[in-house]
Amino acid sequence: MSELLLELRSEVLAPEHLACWAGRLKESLVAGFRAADLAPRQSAVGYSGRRLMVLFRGVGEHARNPPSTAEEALDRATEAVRQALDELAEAVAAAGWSLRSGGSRAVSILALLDGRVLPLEWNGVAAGAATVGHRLGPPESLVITDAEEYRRALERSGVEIRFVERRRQLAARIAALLGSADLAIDDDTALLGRLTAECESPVPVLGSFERGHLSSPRELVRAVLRERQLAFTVSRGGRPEARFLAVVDHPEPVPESTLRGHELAVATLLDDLRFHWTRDRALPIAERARRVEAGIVAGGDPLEAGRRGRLRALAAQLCADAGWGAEVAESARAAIDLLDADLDTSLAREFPELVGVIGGLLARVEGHPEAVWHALYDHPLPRRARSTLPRGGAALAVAAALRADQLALDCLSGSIGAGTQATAEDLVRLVMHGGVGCDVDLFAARACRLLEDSRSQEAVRRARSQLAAALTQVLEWEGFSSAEIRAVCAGQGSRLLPDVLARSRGLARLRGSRELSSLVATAKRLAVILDGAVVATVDAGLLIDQAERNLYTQIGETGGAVRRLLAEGRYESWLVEMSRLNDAVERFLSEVLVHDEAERIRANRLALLEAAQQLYSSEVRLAELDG
Amino acid sequence: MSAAGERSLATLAATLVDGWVGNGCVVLDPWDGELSARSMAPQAFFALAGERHVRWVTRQVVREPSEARYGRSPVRQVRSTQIRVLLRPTPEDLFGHFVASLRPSEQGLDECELRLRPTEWRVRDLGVQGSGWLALMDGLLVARFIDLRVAGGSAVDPTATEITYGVERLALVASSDRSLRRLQQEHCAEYAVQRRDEEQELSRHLLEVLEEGELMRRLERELAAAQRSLDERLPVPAFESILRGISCAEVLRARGAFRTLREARAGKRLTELSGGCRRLVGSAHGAGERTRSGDV
Repeated sequence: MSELLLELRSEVLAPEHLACWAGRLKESLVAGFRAADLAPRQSAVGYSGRRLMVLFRGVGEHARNPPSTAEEALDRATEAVRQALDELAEAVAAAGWSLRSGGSRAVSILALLDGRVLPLEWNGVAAGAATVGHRLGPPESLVITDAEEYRRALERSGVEIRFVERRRQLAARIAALLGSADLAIDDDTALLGRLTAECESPVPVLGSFERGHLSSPRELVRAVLRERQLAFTVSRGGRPEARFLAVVDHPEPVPESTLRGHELAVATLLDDLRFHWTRDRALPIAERARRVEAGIVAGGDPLEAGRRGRLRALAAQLCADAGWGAEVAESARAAIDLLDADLDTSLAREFPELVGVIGGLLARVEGHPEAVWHALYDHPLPRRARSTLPRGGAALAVAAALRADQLALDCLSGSIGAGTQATAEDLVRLVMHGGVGCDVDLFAARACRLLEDSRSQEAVRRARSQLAAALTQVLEWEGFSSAEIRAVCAGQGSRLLPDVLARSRGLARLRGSRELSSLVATAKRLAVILDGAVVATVDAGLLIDQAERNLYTQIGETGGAVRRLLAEGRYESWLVEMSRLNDAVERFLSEVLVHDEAERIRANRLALLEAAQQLYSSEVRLAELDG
Repeated sequence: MSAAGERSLATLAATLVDGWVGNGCVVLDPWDGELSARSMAPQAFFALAGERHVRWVTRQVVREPSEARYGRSPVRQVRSTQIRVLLRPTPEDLFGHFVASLRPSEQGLDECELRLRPTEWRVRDLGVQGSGWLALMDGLLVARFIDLRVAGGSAVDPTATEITYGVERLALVASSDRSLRRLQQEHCAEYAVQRRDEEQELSRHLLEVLEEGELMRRLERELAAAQRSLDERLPVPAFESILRGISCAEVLRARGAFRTLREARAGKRLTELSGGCRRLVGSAHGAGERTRSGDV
């Protein structure tokens, strides 16, 4: 017994979930085979837009209770596969799809244990020894005997089942296609991955479009090709070319008619883009903003009607907190007056994913100042965890004001969901990475109060809670551990987010150092000793032992330096200073009996330790870190 | 018949319809009123009420004001032809039939690249929701396959699937030179000229001539008429008014005039009224009622 080959085939599987589903199938199978004492030595997965594959080698090699017959092995494996398929079906259903009906319904199961078909029927499909090749390949079934034959048979029909290999081949083909013509495409790993997952036989093709489309804004052309056609724009020496690169799912050679089809689809999209762009430019953006505003006022919702005023107030507040000049504040205000104008455009209706970009471009072509059109263009940023921030102070102020207002509205209505959390995370990122010296809690509270509703206080409380969770999430995205985040957030340092980020980075630089580990261990000891203790002030006259007098002196010497070094972000020097204190604390703890019989002495020693502990918790609470 | 003739619009539509008839579907007459490309004809919408079982195929002319391009786009047109298939409950092997239906070798489609992309489907005005797949052939969107979960705001049970083919688009994929005009000319030279003029006039009418205030008033009138019909327990006329209201709304949307809360409320009202129609029909067509033509 050595090899299990399982392939589940559908007409189509949602590409964005393929990696997750293939991994889930493998994990469930490994668990099931372990439980059946058939644990594999090696495992591999493969997937495409039509199939999931798992391959085990060395099945049951180290079994303590190996099956006595081949039939028993088949039975055990069948049960494990059935269980794994059930679990996979649950995972697929959780993502909103189904292996039991619709396009993703399992249409065939190839299940071989050492070349023998598992006696399995799942969801009305009997397992067999056959599969099919590419949709455009020969229609005959491919009868499979083992994994090697499976790989070769698929390869002959143009299918590469291994995702990583398929992506490597696609990247190489793209490089060859572009290199021969001295062309380049955007480095878009996500799109490349999406296309690799979807296609069984991905082949890049270079198409062309009418040169006149190059006069449409480049970012619109790029966004439309990417989002609607999953195609790349092409450039030569940084200059855009009237060409695009598409990836077709067609075993080579790709017929000319397929390329013509993609060219027609791209031409249609770009014609649309030009049609809408021309129509939208006919009316000044300020007039569009007035139309949108008039529509909102006519709607009669006071919260909607007051939105622009609230945004102006919030942006002005942020600019003042950040110390930005009147010019930045004025640009932010001008951008807010034009905000949402692009909702009135036909481009935004046709391509809603380009809201923001459209307004910014219209403002740019009308000659509005750069700070203003940047603020309009960038206001939807950041869109996700790692996307870029708006450019410039005015743009940051507008984007932050929008998020704070939306957070306040969500918190006021109580309809808090994933969108609210995303809004809070965006706000935290804007303030933190934008280097804005404002207290984000106070900023959000201001946004809640601007709603002038009796429920504002409750909204403030909810907003605080959302922002705390968002801060943790954003710091996690930055790569800080949960313990580091707890240590930084629980410390007594500045609450301003750029400072929180600086502290987190400083602490992370010391990660793994022996000195820091010693500090953490001592901090945890102090926390245990002082837990529940009632602490008074230190009376120097009651310090008897040399070790406690030493510690008293060291606290005095270290205290000022520690706070100054942390404030200056000099974490390495802080660590040196704290190590001196740490030695003194450790000596105290080993030589002095804290819980002296005399109550005054005992209280004085606890007070001394409390004074030391203050320094272990000043900017970062060291006791929160992992030892 | 010439190769070009074989791939003409008419034969392609006929091939699709015949294919579904071969799969047990009954050919249903098209809806005789104006229908938006995304909305549903009354018979289809009402087939989702109660527990009716249907297998229908219809050739339907639809209108899409947002596709108005003055006859200049190779693909976008206000007026186009769809083949619509409705099956309830959804047969297990339906998706395989759908994929096969896209690739009839006699139409030269069997060598085209076929891509299927997931989609969430929503017709807000009718309270219809579902999910499914968009079919792209050689990069062009040609059909959609939607499992309908909700209609008129309530669950569709047993499940139903609606398949929609864009006949002109599919014919474009099948044609060698990818020209809609050429296809129309092959179909009939006079027809091509007529269609071009028609698209130019319709585009101008929809995007420039129609007065927005009048459209809003017409929409309000249709909403009121739908409510009156519902009060009289007449769901079919009520739904006809809703469809006429949706046509107004679609023009307003295409012109960017459907943007205020007042209009949003009109959209919400359309949804509520269509829900009312469905409930009315659902109460009349409960379990076991399977009598209309084409029901199984």
